[in-house]
Amino acid sequence: MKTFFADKTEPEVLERFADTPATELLEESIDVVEFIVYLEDELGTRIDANKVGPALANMNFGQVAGELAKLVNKEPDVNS
Amino acid sequence: LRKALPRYINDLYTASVGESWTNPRLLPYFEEAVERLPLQDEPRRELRDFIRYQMLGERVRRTAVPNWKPATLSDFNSRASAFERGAEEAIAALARPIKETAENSGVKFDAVLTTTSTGNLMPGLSYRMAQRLGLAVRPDSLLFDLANVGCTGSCKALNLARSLDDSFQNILVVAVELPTTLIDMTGTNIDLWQGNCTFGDGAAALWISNNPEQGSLALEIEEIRYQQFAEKGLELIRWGYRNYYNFALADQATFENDVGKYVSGALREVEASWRDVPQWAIHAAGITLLMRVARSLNFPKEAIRASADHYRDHSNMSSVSILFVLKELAEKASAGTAINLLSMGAGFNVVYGRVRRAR
Repeated sequence: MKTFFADKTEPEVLERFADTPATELLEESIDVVEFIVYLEDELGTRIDANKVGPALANMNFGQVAGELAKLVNKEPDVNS
Repeated sequence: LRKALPRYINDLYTASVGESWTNPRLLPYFEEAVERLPLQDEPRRELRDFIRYQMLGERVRRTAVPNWKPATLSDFNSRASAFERGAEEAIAALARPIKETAENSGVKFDAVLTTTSTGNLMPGLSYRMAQRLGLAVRPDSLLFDLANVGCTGSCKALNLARSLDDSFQNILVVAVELPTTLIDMTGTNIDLWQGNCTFGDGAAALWISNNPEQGSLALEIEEIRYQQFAEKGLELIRWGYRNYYNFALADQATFENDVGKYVSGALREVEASWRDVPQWAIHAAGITLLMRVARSLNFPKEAIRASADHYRDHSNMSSVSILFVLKELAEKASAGTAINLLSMGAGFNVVYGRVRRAR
């Protein structure tokens, strides 16, 4: 997840990435959709935007990683 | 119906109706309403999280409902009356520049074709527009109201205008959509709330003729292709009924899968028409859908930019949205530039079209 923001985010924010509210980096709905599409490419699976979207609007990235792991049955890894 | 001469969009008029509401201004009302719903803790949290997701960012919509507050729209009468007042405001705003154009150029409209799916009026919009335009509409002009056609209504009206025979020299197409008169904060369904969060009000009109020298745009209507999927797509988008009509969808997974499949499939059938045209005016149905369709067909990312910008600035205005996007693109286009049109909506149906600036 972190890689998606690497080129467009301050290093200090990336250092505390897991604790960063997703809405701090995803300000508009198109940002969220672009991020979900990126995750689909990385994970190689279709993601239900109506399940992950609410998580992104209400959680930090650490928690989002947990939600994603449940959806794709993998161990959460916020840095991947 | 017979078409012989090419048809041109000579001018495109848009009207912003009512009051502007940003997501941050509206969200507290929605959250307060969710707290009052008869829900257990977990479904209440799920609904609240979904709404926050839908209301992310600074997106704007306009509402024709005056002094809007949660209790403003409480029954059939308040909603239908708000629609009628808003429609009158929209028609008046559109009529001013159209009447001026008609007077300056000596144009009389042979037909006035109107569309709305977000309210019912009698007399219809076409009569109300004719009244506002006075001498620009003859007593024997065709006045025709399309209804119940969903978000593709303006494209269907455009296609109808294109199909009329050459005796109809100047045609006015008018779309008025006021979906915020449907906002209902007393229900618990996700799709009802998706409608609450997604839509905004607006109106637009097209002056169409077979003379490219008239007006400011001269967009030749080169192609309009229409595909309906009524056999399997009837349930995808439809009205629900509470104390008024409300937006209802098939379950989310079916909706996402089927809509994406129908839109992509319809576009593949006409790929030769759009593949080399980079500009797209797409109905602002939802960013996720647009992004998925664009990816499945290998559109450049920029293809959905104008529609995404429109959604941020105006939200989904149903059949009016595509006309706002088209205006934005057409005014910047140089002579010879083509623009693809794509709309999709209840039925289910998909409309593809292509216009080109003739001068």
